[in-house]
Amino acid sequence: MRTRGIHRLLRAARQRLGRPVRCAECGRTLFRGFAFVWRGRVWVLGAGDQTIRIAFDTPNRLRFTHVHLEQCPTAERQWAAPS
Amino acid sequence: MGRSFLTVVLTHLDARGVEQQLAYLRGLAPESRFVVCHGGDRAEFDRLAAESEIADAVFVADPQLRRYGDISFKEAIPAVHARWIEADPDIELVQWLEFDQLILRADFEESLAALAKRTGAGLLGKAAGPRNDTNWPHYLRYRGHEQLDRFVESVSRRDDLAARYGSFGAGMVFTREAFDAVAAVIGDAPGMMQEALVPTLVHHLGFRVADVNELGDLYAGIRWRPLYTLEDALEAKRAGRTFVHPFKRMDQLAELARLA
Repeated sequence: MRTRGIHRLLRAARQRLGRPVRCAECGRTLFRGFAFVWRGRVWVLGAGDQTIRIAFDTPNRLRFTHVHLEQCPTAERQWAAPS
Repeated sequence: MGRSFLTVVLTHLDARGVEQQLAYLRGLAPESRFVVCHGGDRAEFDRLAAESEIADAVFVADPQLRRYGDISFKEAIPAVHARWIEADPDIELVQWLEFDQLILRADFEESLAALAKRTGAGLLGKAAGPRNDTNWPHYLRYRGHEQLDRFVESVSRRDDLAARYGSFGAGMVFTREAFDAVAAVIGDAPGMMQEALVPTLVHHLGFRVADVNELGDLYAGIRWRPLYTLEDALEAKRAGRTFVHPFKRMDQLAELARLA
């Protein structure tokens, strides 16, 4: 129970203090979080809030997009509601 | 569309709940064909079979059909295929309708058939598509899963054996050919979350998997949560939506039909 409470607090802190990461297609915020390198891996805290697709769009920059397109309004998908 | 379109209602509800749902569906779309795949309590299925005048149903005893978050169709799909599809060459499309996916419009078959024809897909689904480049938990869970990898290798017609697909659970519609192919092999698959297994299998058996959300707003009313209330469902119906999910109140369907 205590662990759950701590996780909830950390999550709230991340959602408040984290930087917005936006969908490369619709521009809406996918999640708020932090990225860092630790023990040889890149962590993206907050990414788990959404189901997202990832790719590199430049040699040094990652591109995230919605998997659930009903959350991703674009010119072709004007019926979709923002997440 | 008559006999060429079969809707399979996948349910665990008691006999009363199933009857309420069937009565609603048959009132909404009297020309459509609805059958029941029951994975709940055996006594309730027996009651349904004995007392209902409207239920055409098969019982599937697989306990993993009732394991929320890990639901497997490896027994349900072959059971449905053997009961209604194998011997009926007229069936062209099979809608796999979870009990809490509510149909709101009578022309749902035409809408789905049009999408199936437009895409040439073997499986239509919500958010259906590749998952290798995502953080989808069900993909990550089964990545490197020995049993799944061996099974895919044994049935795949694709070059890329590592390709993995996924879909939202509600809203799967199969062509007959894809359903035949899946039914023939899924019994040998590991029992695993159907949202990950079924689209992956359809892809590896050589069929296209299409995301309905890429094609339009037919599935805009289908979501994971929150639950739809009666008022929400009415609003969706009045707005012209064809489906909503999740709606679990079978006891409110008669009122929905009356008020809409």
